[in-house]
Amino acid sequence: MISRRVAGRRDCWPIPSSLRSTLISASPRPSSLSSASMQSLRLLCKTAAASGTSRRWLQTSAVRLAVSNFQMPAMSPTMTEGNIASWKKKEGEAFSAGDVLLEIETDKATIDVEAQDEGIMGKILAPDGTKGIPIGKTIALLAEEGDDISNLEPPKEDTPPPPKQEASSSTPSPPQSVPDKQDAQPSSPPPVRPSMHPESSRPLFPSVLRLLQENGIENADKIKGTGVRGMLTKGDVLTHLGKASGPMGTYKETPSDVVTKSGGDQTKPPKKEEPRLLDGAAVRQLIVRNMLEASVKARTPPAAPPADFDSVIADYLPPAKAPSPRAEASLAKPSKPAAGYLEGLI
Amino acid sequence: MLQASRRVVVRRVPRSAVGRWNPSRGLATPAEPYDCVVIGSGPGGYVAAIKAAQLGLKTACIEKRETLGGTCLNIGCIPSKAMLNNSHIYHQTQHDVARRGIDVSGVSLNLPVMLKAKDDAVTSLTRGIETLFKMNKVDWVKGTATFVSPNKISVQLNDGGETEVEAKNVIIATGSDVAPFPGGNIEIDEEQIVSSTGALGLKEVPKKMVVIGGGVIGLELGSVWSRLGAEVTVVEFLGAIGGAGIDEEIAKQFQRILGKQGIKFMLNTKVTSAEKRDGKVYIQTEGAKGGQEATVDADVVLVSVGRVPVTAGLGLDKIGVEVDPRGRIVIDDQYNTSVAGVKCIGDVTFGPMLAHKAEEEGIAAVEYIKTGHGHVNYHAIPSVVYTHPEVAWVGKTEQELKKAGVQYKVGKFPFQANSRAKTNLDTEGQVKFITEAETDRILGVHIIGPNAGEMIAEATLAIEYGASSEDVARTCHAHPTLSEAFKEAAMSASSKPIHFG
Repeated sequence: MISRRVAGRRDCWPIPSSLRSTLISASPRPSSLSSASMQSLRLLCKTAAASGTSRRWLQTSAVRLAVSNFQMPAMSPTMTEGNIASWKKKEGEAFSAGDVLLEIETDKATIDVEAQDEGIMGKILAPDGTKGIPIGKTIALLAEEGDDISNLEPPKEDTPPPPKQEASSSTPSPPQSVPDKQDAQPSSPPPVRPSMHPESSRPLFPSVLRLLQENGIENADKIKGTGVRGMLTKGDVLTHLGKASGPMGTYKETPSDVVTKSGGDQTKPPKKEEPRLLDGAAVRQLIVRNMLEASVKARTPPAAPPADFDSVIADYLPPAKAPSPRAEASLAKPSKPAAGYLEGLI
Repeated sequence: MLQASRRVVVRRVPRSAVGRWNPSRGLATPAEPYDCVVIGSGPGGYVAAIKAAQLGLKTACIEKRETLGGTCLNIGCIPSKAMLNNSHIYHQTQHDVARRGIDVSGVSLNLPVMLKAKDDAVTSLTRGIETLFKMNKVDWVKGTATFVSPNKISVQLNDGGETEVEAKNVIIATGSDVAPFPGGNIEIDEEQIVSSTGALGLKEVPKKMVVIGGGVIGLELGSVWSRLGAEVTVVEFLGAIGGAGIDEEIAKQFQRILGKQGIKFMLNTKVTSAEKRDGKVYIQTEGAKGGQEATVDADVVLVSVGRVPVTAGLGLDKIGVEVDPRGRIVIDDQYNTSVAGVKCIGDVTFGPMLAHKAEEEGIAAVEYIKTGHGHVNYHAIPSVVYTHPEVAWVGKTEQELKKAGVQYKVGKFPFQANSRAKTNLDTEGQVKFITEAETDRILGVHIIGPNAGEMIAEATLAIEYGASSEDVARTCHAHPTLSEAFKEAAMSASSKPIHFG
């Protein structure tokens, strides 16, 4: 059995304890939050994000604050459900980023799931050996160090699991969106959208990620990318959304000076030949080409050294004279007039 | 040819075993031809040579100068930057540090030492390349190259004598030289009438200096001597300074700033002749469109009207390499000249005459030889003027886009509003983003201000990856740094800057 290590992702980001008190005290009357305190909240959040070990942001609901759901991760693009082989961390046990939390059996392999952050295993909801857990179902609650985990309750399944998990070992996880956009109000009314992680086999630009999230595009690979090695540019997504006339808008990329000025293909044989009617001219051209080919073959010295007099005596001649004038001539000659033709042939 | 030489080797062994003298095998051809021979060791040539060696090609580099590095390291970029930096410090110490609470008295210039500091920088860097050559096993053939055939080069050695180098691939990287004054009625003597080479080693600070040509070289060297005390006048035929590719708005701001530093400008002015009289040079000028004749006198005249490709003595006509009317070697998009097996890169062919452009081409050309693929994005080649403040740009200018009928947006941010620039008391200049209106794609970035030359790297990367200004705006920039001005300019192109307007 193959065993891979995959970093699991938590869909909800714990709030640093320093912040939580602010939040909790503010939560009963969210509307009374002054803009100044909101500002400081954002600021705190920012500092926490900058100094913290990972990207975390404020996503709050009235039920849970520091506790986050740990959901069944998607270990492969085809996986829909999995079995829990065994938990490697007991309830109450602390772990740090990179520790193996549990082993998951999928249709293909048994996979170690690693923690992305440090924290405490709060409550295991699906014990060892549970089978057929769909992706996205909460299998454990994770808490932060110092949290009281004695009275943790399994969440009511009111928040639907995110439509699709993006954590798959082959796809690099796209950067999280900036926290400011998310509602920082503790108990803001419904439009708390679960964070979405659009699927893409390539890294996404921040602007692209925003557009994908705002427009609910889950699979970024469906859009054609015109950037470096097919990366999606903002223009690509805008074009996809019909907001721009093309990936480059009104700008037309002109061939660079260097290539245009050089007259490009003049010195090179055409890359691809168009199929042509086999008329008289074409036949003649074919004949000429064949003859040329044969003549080149004839002129190229054979593998074995030619045993003619000149080459035999060449080594004995004084140095002023080039060793084998014949060979040189045959090399120098085709270069100029026939360079174009010969390039593809020799 | 390859087969022929292999045959010779095989036969030579038994002969030398018998101890017979072989007259035809002196130092002439090495037993094996080189995979790659680079002619010229400037930034294009030496980089190509090292890259070729790294890719496992047996490589030689032919250079006639006694030191490696070409114009850039010996008489161009490097020495001029040494002079620019040191003259800037001198000028700052004289005029700027007092307001920062540093009282310095008796500041004086020791020009010989300053010149020596420049020479030391040059020596250490050129030696460095020699070391790199040794480490990478690149053979340096010290002499002047002439083609005998497309894959055979005869080298007139500096130490006397001649050798022949055989190569499966040749890369011409002979670079460029100072362009003579058009019309030829001003002769460069490198004493009173100097080129950039002479201007880097003036024995004393001239009282009055005239710079003919307000391009990058003229402005940089004009700045150097102006800071050291010369009264500098720049005479430019065109209506703007800064050379090709600079944005008009930036050029105007640039001229205003340099004007404040004491450099005088005569734009739209043509130099017709120069006359040496009583230890001075008298320059006749007239308006670019006729009229308004004037005479300017100077102790030293710097002719910086451009550079021309160097191909003389290479014997290109002998092997049939095509050269265009301006002396540039004609290449295709894979750096092939009209002769198979001979490639060409850098100043001696098309494109801007920039060291970093040549480097990129050198690497790409070698990769074409080795793998058949190379990459140079000519839309993302930055230009930098190392005056103070620096000016740097990459991509399109507003004028170019207007001409092409492109809908664009402009986002600007002045260094006046940047915290780091404020703390440094160095707030002149701005960052200007030009983006496509519909897609927000970055088309050009123009920076004038402190550290613009370093900052432009980020813009180049953004353009290389087809980024939008929002992408830059959403990328975290350290605080407090000048680079925040870059981010804020991107913000002002895509939405609104935080700290301005």
